[in-house]
Amino acid sequence: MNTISNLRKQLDKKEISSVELTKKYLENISSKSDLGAFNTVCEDEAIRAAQLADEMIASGNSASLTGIPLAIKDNICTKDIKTTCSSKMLGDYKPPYNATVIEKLVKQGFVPLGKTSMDEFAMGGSSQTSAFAKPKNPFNTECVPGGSSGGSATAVAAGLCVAALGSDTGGSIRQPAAFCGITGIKPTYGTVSRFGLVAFGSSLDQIGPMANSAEDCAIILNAISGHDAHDHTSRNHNIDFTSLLGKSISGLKIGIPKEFFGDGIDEEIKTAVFNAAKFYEQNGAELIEVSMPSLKYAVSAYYLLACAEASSNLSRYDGVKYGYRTDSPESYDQLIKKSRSEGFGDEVKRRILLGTYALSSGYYDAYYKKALAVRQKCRSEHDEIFAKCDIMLTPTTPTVAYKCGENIDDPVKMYLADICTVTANIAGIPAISVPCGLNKSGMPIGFSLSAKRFDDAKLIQFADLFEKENPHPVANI
Amino acid sequence: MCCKTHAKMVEYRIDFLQGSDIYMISKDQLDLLCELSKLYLSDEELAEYGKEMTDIIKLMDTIGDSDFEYNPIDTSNAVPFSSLREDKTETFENMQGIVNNGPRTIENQFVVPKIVD
Repeated sequence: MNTISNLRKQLDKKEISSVELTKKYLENISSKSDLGAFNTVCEDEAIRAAQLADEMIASGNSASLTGIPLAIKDNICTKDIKTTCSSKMLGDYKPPYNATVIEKLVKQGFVPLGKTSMDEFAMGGSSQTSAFAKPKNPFNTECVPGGSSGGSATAVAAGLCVAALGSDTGGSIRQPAAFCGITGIKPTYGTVSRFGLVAFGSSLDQIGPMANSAEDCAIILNAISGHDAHDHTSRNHNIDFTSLLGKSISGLKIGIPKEFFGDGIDEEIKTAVFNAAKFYEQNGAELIEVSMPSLKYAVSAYYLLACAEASSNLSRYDGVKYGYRTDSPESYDQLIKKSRSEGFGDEVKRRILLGTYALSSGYYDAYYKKALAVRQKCRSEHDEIFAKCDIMLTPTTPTVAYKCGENIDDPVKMYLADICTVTANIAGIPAISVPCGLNKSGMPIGFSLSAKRFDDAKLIQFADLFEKENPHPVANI
Repeated sequence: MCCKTHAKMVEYRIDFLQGSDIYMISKDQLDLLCELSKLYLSDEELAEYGKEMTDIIKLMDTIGDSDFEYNPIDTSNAVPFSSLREDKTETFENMQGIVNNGPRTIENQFVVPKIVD
């Protein structure tokens, strides 16, 4: 299994060139195209970037990601490279600019391998709502890779890239990371600029890395984080995400919230997560029980807030300025309605309708305002928890990856499956998913660590310690 | 939202709550939501979405059991004005890139169906 830190050494020692490395990954992508990880593979751009990277390395000007081949979720704008959001609505869209994260990576000399498939507009937890490639789980290709960043998770787990960018609005980095046996972090809200990330739920969205190790996640976060004048919610905290790697956790406290271990969580997952807790205890951490009573309202609050924001954000798709446009509309109103109805898939339409419902006069107080109240309560409960402990440990998902096609006709069941991840987005705190073994069927299990806002480096520290003694599972493909 | 639409939504809300034993979002309600969302749904889709939306709203209704009050002056995630960039116009250099994405354009203008006869 390749990691960025290993490849960095090989590149800097000239044991391998970036062009050679890039060609190897492009071959992997081609030979495993049936995994459906990518919507677009940008071979020419990748080779050009690798050549430039080799020049940077030769001149002694390499940065941590110079020459490193990465995959990019297909909702992050890449100049002149298709950014489809896995939607017919944006099927031919080529952004005229780069997202800020891409600009930062370009400055480092990274190699963009392509755009990974996802749930349409990041709405889903299986990646099966994609209008284009439908990614499969490398541990069992009959199963979903999770979502919405399922293509990125598949690509990393199958060795089609060394790491990838995903985005997380309610668990879309952590849940597929858990399903595919890799590490994924949703940074504190405001850590990474959202400029150029196609908006879903703006108060919840964050871009983050998905990789083969927590250390690799830290390296990518160091490259992409920081204040951006184009995103007023981004902050400049000058965090070195690698700063706590290798430091002892002795004396630190881990909170175990009892509400996250209810009847809906698979017994095998509970056991694996408790074993992870015991590992930390054996390494000097103290386990304490904490409580989050508002959890029972979290899924409802999350979907009301996210869909309300989505209904507003997606109103820009009108068939006029960019995106899909219906044939021969008879009126301006029909142009908009038909373009949207033909361009959006079922799940996107459902969420727009729900968001519109929640924001409608007569419903606003009962739903949207109530969801805001739950959000405030969730934040204050997290503040109370992190006043008592340094880290909170929970399962990432209630189940392991399920079969493709399963659950797709039951939106409520799909929504409830987000119970373990949505609170981090609601509260704006950082959370990381780390693999902790396989179940009896050979499917990966993940546990999550969360911390107070801007304590992301501590998550990396804890995750790295676990990974050093519990290597990631490897897909047999 | 116009007064007529507002009144209609309030009326539907009352119908919805009073009919909670049946708990079904009506076709009229869904029609109105489609109008507000600028979406067309066929009769078949309306029936399917109606059932799914009813189940989803049942789940969302559980939030009504919470007794938390929203505090509008909570500024835990406030952004200081000093962090905002200066409000000045800037020339976007890749105008052609924008125009190229237009589904129909003539002379750098987006074309839409005739609005005024």
